[in-house]
Amino acid sequence: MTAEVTQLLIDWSRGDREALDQMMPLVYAELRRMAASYLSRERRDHTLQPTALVNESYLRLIDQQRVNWQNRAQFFGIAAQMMRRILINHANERVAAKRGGGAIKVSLSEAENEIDISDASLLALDESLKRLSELDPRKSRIIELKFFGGLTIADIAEVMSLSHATVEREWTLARAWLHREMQR
Amino acid sequence: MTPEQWQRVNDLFYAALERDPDQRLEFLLQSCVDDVEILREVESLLAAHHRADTLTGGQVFQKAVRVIADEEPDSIAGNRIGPYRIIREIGRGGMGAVYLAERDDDEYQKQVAIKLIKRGMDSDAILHRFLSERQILARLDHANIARLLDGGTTTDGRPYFVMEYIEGQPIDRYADERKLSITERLALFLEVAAAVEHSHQHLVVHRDIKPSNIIVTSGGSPRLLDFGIAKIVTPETGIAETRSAKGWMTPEYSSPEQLRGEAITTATDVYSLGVVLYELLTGRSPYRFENRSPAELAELISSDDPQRPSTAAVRISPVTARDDAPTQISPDVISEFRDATPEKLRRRLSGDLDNIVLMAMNKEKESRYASVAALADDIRRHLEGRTVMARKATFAYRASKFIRRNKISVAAAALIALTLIGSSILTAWQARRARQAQAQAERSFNDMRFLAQSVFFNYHDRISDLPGSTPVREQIVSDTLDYLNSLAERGNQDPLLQAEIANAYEKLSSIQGGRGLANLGDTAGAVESLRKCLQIRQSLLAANPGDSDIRLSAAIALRNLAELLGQRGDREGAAESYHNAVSMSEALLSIDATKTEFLYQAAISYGSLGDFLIARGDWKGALENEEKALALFKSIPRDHPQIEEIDRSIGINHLLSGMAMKGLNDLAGAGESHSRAIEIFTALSRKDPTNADYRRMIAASYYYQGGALKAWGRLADALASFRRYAEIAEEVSAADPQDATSLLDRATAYSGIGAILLKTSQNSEALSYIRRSLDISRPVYDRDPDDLDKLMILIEGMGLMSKALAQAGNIQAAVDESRKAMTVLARADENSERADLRGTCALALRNIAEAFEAAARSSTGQRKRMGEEARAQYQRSLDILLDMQSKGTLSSSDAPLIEEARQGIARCELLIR
Repeated sequence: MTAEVTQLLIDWSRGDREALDQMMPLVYAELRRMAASYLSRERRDHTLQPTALVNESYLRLIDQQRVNWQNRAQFFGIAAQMMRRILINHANERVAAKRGGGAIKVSLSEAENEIDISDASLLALDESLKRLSELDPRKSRIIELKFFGGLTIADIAEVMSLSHATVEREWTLARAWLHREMQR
Repeated sequence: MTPEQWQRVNDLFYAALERDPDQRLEFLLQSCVDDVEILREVESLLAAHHRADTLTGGQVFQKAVRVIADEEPDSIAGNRIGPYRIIREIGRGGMGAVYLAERDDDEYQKQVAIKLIKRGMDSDAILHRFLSERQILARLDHANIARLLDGGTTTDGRPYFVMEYIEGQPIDRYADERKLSITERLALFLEVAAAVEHSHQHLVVHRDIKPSNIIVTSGGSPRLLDFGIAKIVTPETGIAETRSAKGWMTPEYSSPEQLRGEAITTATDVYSLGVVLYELLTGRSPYRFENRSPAELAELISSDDPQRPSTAAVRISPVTARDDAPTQISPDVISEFRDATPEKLRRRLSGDLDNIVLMAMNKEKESRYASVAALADDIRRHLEGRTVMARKATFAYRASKFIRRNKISVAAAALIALTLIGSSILTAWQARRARQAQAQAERSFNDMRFLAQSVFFNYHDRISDLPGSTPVREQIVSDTLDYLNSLAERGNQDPLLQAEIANAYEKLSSIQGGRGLANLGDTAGAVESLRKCLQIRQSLLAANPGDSDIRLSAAIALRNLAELLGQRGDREGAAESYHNAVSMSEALLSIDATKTEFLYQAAISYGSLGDFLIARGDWKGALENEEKALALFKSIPRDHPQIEEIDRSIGINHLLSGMAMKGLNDLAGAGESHSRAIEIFTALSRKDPTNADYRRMIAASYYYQGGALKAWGRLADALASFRRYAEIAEEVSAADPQDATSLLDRATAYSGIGAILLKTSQNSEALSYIRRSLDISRPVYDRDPDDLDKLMILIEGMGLMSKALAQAGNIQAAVDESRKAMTVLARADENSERADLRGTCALALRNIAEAFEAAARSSTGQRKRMGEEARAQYQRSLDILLDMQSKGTLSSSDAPLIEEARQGIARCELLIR
């Protein structure tokens, strides 16, 4: 399994598009398995945080000896994007089920104080992030890795091969930008 | 915002953060004297920064983990997809799965195959490929191609499509198992060729033809499957725009040009068919592929000549059997499968069949058969014992060259066929008219009536829904007009004849400039014809007020006249006609309030009045009338024979309600109404795929949906809607290049796309779209300068052009464009009561003002003069907006424009000072 996913990752980074399509279900299955296991532990111990989910999946699926840092970055990118899509699909589905939902303007920071973030906020976040990626792809990647991949600033710096300070700066502006857009 | 501007925003934001909070504003003011846009951007980001601390993403991730853990990845909720019940999975690839399913309701017991994208796999690239396959299948309708039956989206937003379920075997296995003779194999292959030919006629290249994609049913009918990597070629060049999808195709059946990654044409499918035929005839692959890398394969296919089929079939060598380990397949076995002996097989294949197969597989695509039809013809010639073209290679080569030089696209060929039908009708008619001229004295009105009826109504109606029919119809119109005028001048008072003359004028009018129909764009002529029609009907009603048939048709004509007048900017005339139409309809309901036809016509009258009120910006009035209309439509029984027409009207009701809701700033409601409209029109179009009107209504719904989403701030979704709108308009336009409505649709769509791209600072792409829009709208407007719709599209495009040029930093061009736009704007009556036109003018003036403002900032020498011009245009824009607001015609979602204009004026004051 490890050898297979590693090879697919390498093939994909060399331009083989089919490799990605073959790899995605495998990564997906692993993420799902890990998430379920975190959740069952969380029910027993509420202090346990699943932030290391993507990192651990990476360690389990990829043979570290065979890949370079770009491959690693690509892997984290795929995983975060996948989490994003699943979450957004889920939110869309629920909003559709509620027929319209109603809320147009939402604020993530308000929602953050609540127990659960609302579907409308998630959709607004996704929309804003799409716009940010057109304006500044690097910032939107940082947000994606942080929000949907659960990576820390230090993880992101390592994955993207940037200095900690740069990520911190980009993160500050990106966050302000998102906050403003979502208020609109 | 340009990348340079964004970089500056970044630099200033970080620099400001390093300063004390109370010094930041001053720092920014000093740093951005030249660019207010940047100042505002940085300021608002700093303000947001103070409140953004709470935004950590932690909860988002927590939720993502919970959602993914709860997912059941491949189970389908309730084992259902839309109205279908899943029986089992029958195939799966990396991105999706194919299910065998059954429709639940009793009328459809048929089993179907459903292709569905896996959860979480719906990346943009995969979605695009998936939707493209669905779109391609929708174009094709052939007995030997698996049919697209339905499509939709699951509750969690994954698209799916439903195909005919084909049970059978791959063609090679089928042929071997039944020991089909060479002749039987050729007959089977011809059916496959017909399917490929059909897809080529619809501009689709399959690109992945191989035995496993050709399934033969137990009844012996082959079906071509899997258009997963098929491409649509452009009609002009016959070339698919993108290059081959490397890694997706099957190298054994790929043409040399496909392996080299060159542009793909229909010749690629001719090659792959050649390989399939080679294997069907010989039982062997033309190249030996064992243990070769893709690069070696490509080299081999490009350089090696395959053995002649007659030699290959009797070759004694190991080959790899299809899905087993390598085994020895002897010539005896191969021959036995083909109901022959090795020697008989060799003789059967040598000569014609060798030549045919090798010509189809020629490495140079110019030397292959020019089309699949030519390949099929040659096989037929062989079967009938006639001389095949492949033998005379030189001649065939020359012939294919000739065809290439004189290429007639499939669409053009269809047009020619239509023109031939049309002209023979006209010739017959003209001959008849000549004879009648000779016998003018005894000319009989009954005879004329017959002519009007048969030539005009029957023939025109038959061709009117077909794309490509415009030139023929234009000819019919001008001849008919001459004819009717001469009839009317004769002054015969027979009411029956009069009624028919009125009908003919009405029909003529709708073809000259009817709204929504494929019309010839002559609205002035259309009004004139319709007035003649009404004049006759009103004098008939005066003589016989109880004639409800005439009253009904007068109501319809009044409504159409109102629409035409509104379109031409005669708002008073239009208002009068609408009210006459509504009171004429209410009079009908008072005659009989249960009669379906009356209900229907009254509904339409209310609905059209609503439509008119939307153009005037009376959103509340519009929504009220649309709701009255909807209630009347829904009171019509569903078993009505013209239920499609009623559904179409209901779709339009939803579309108009959505527009009114947008005006009232109920954007979620608007989005939903437009989605309802798209659903209804799509269902209608699926039942009647050649009907151009339904396609146009789908296009219009996407357009308004795009507008609502844009106002909502959902730019990516808005862009997708506009692109879908553009696609449909392009398809209609490609089929009938002279059709005026789809031309305008394209111009509108390109402007819409350009405006969104400008918002997201994709300047060069935006410019190219706006340019495409103007390339259409300028000549169209010049031809019919009284049509306000056309003027509006032109003004919108020119305003956007000014803004785009300024935003791209091309200041001089932006100023030039602005001046040009102002001369066109002068032709629009800014005081008109058409809210959409006024809104468009206000927006264009704002864009022009921005261009002047940019010019003022770019050069100190011109600062004052340009600043004043900018201020003046902001002011004009503001005046219009304020006036609209005071009259209640300003869409609530456009209200922020007022503040923008005021800020513009304030900035210009500072500049001038």
